Amino acid sequence: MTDGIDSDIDDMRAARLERLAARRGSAAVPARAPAPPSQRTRSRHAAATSRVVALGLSTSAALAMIAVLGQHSAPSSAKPAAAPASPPATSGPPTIVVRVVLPDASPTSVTSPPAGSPAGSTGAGSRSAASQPAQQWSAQPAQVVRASAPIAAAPAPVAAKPATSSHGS
Amino acid sequence: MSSHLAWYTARATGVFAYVLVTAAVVWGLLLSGKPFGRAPTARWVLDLHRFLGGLSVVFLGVHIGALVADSYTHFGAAEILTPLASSWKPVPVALGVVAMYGLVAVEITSLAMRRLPRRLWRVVHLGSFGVFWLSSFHFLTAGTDARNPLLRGFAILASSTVLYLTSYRVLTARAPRLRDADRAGGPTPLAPYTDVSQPA
Repeated sequence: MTDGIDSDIDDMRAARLERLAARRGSAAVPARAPAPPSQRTRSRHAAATSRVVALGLSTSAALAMIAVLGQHSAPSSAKPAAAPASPPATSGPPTIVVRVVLPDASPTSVTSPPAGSPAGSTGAGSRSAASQPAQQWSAQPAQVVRASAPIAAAPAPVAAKPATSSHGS
Repeated sequence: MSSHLAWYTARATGVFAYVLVTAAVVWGLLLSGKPFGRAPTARWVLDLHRFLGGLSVVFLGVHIGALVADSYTHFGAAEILTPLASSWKPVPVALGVVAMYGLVAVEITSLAMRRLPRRLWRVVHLGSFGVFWLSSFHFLTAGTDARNPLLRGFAILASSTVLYLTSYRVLTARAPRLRDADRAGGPTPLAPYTDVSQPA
């Protein structure tokens, strides 16, 4: 297998010596005699050994890394969200419910999208936010406070209470 | 583990393809730049340089094959063969795609070196520097394991080493090369990538 590289090196060496001689304007420099067979055999053994060492080291290191990844990595958190096989189902833009208590103690609801969250954003394209936004902002109608459901123990009338999000801020 | 084997294989072979590309480039720079005084004369040194390049192509092939085989990430032929076709991190993935083409070109021209004009081979072979830097940016910006301190440290160390050896090579290439002619009668050092036909 290393016969080719031996001849390559001999060719390159001869061509290099010819160029040197031509540049100096002198006669052709005699090329070095080819290496004896024993030296070529040693060279081939050394080349084969270096190949085996390189192949063994790289392959075993890659296999070890696969094993370590399999034992210590959380696959769902490590995978990119390039194009999930089944994108998380969402229905419309995310919703924040703001509960406002009017002076007559009849609650109503005002909905608005959260600041900085584009409509329809599911987190695709961001590896770390791939799964979280879909879980956090998936519309859950049961959590929406409806105007028809009065609050039994309403506090004393105030102008407006701070906004409360059913999903946390 | 088995369900994610393709994904882990893609990550591991990607990392070690980058390691092998780095090793091949550094080995080649050590061969041609002669930073330790003179080039090594042993033939296995050049053989190992070639073998590292070929092995990096093999690891790259496994890396791509594992990405295609993985059922979670959808990397098809279009995303892998066409730069900027991927919807996930298009620019970092495109860097990897271009580096892949460059690595394949360097390997093919190296295998066909004796049948190609020397100048063409040399121009294409110089593209291995571009392959290395594109691979580095691809690894650091698209690699899942780029946040690993050990691997990030390796990337920084590899980049620094290649930068230093390249600078050394460029600066020493300007030095007079006629000293090589004085050695012509004696043992000739193995410097296959030193183009002495170029004037200083």
